[in-house]
Amino acid sequence: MHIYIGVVWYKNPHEDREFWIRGALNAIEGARNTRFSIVEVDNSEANFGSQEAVRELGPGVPLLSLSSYGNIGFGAGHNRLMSSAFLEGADFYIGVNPDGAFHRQSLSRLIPRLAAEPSNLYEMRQFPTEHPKHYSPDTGETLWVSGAAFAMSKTSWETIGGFDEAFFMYCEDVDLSWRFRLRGNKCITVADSLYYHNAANRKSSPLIQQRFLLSGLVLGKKYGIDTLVQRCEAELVSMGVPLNAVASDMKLPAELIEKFDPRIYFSSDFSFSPVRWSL
Amino acid sequence: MGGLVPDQLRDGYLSILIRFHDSRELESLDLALFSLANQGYQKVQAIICCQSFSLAELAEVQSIVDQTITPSDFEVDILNGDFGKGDHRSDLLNLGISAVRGQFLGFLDYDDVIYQGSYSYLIAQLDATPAAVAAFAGINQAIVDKAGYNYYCERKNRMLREGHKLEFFSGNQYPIHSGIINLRRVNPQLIRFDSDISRNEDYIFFMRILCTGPWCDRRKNFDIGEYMMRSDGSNTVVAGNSMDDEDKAFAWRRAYERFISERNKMVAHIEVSELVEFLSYTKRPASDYTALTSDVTQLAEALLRSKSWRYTRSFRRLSRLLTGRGYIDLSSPETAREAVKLIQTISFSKSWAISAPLRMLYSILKKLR
Repeated sequence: MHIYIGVVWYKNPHEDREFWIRGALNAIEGARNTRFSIVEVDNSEANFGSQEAVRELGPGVPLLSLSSYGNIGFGAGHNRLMSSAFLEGADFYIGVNPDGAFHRQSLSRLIPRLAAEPSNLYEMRQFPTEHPKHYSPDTGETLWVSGAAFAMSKTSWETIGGFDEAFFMYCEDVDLSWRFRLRGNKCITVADSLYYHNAANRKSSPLIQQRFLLSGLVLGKKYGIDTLVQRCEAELVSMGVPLNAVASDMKLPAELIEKFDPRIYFSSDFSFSPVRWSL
Repeated sequence: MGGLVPDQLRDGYLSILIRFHDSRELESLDLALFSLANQGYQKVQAIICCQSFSLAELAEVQSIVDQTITPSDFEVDILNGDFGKGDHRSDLLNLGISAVRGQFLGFLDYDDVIYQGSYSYLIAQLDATPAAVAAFAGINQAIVDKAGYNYYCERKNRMLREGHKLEFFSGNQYPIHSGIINLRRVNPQLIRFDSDISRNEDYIFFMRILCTGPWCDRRKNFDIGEYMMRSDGSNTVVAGNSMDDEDKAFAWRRAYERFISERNKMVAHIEVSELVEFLSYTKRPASDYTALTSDVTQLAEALLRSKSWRYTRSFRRLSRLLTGRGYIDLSSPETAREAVKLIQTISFSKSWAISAPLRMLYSILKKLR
């Protein structure tokens, strides 16, 4: 099995990148009998036009650095990495946020799950501030998978595709998850596979709020969720944001749209799931 | 055992004491270390204080440490105190204190976690507040089903956020890992836990220090970590889920009495401005806090007086008699904090005794259907 780990950087300090790489290599070392490569791209505007490069990180672990197209968005960044990974022969792609770290046993615990049911979409459990959305403690099944630490197979990539690039940031993972579920696949939280990711004390800003709402608007339009569209439009208008040219890049087939039941996903607004707590 | 050695303290370094008394809990220790290594503040000395571990057990702890990726300035010391079995938390913490080399001192239980940015934030608060001896921030309580990597978090709550900072002198609002101390501003002789107690030892420890100077209370501003409370009742606080709860409650009550005795010997140096602020705070008519206190106390008392609670008492008495242990009744709460603890005991309980009326009702209803 050949697994590519992908990370999209954005203005991360050099020492943070090195620390992340040390953590990734530590987790790779803990996962035996699996071949790993790491693929990265830097979405920082300052890095635009950088050269593609390959270097060896450790024994048998190459790091492929793609040239930067600037800040093309989270999903588009991972799509580039996934294209490259699967073209190079990856069986699975694990995409993670740059502001995190692998637990050393995270990969060894994730891989058997991937191998057993490659058609599902997986997430590593975020630690110590996991998303409060519900998952089954027994099966790990959940309504959507976070893009902060996700995994999918080449077969899924070929049949379902990657992220819809109409989402610049936020909700692209919800959309991808829904597309998996609409095709009869599952979204699974692998609870004992931990990825350090901190969401505590995060300050919101008008820009973040705007990006959330724009993504919510794309999601609402794509799936025909009128309540979400109305809410996002109203809030965006109050913020003075123009609403033109907000549309999905990926149209869903009519038979999938017919299957979609928005009531399943809207018990708590942008959580898109019942939640276990609200702090 | 020696105490703090002021001459060996290094500026800007943070020493974190991790008490670790049960070698079966390695996965929890691993997670605490994982959180500590990734919290962002670089100059850290983690001191793991083990209790009477064998060489093999110490090797396992060392293995966990060796496999954890840490920043370059991050050091880990493993100490082993030969205290025998039993609860020796104060001894373990004192053992760790003798090895402290950081200007700042904090604590992390082996089964708790710290959030990213927490120590940087607390140290910044201390740096920005002249003479502040300590800084505290908010802790969240995570109710989890079990220990280890595969725990399921059932819910999270903010802990102990209400109230004025000076209310610390009447009820502990600072869990042990919710703050750090600037050792350069504290008499080294105060950096010691009372060895003869195993409840409220942290409360007495912090109170002695906070009597000597101002401190920063940022519980409402910043969340710094999580206190993991297991729904199987295996924490050392009263959890309400096992028949041992009455023993635990009794131990807490004894500790409370000891605390009162210690507290009454202390003299606090409080800035007049803070005292005035506190007095005006307590005089606020129907503030959220007083309403909460009143509600919580009434709720706890109502639970104690309820027929279902009284109903279970006979079962609990019988159970204690059959197991050869004396019956210790839970009494009415005297403070809001005691009331909260009692409500948690009852609310989170899965014990046979407490849930008996509900289960009996269920079985009756089932037969009637």
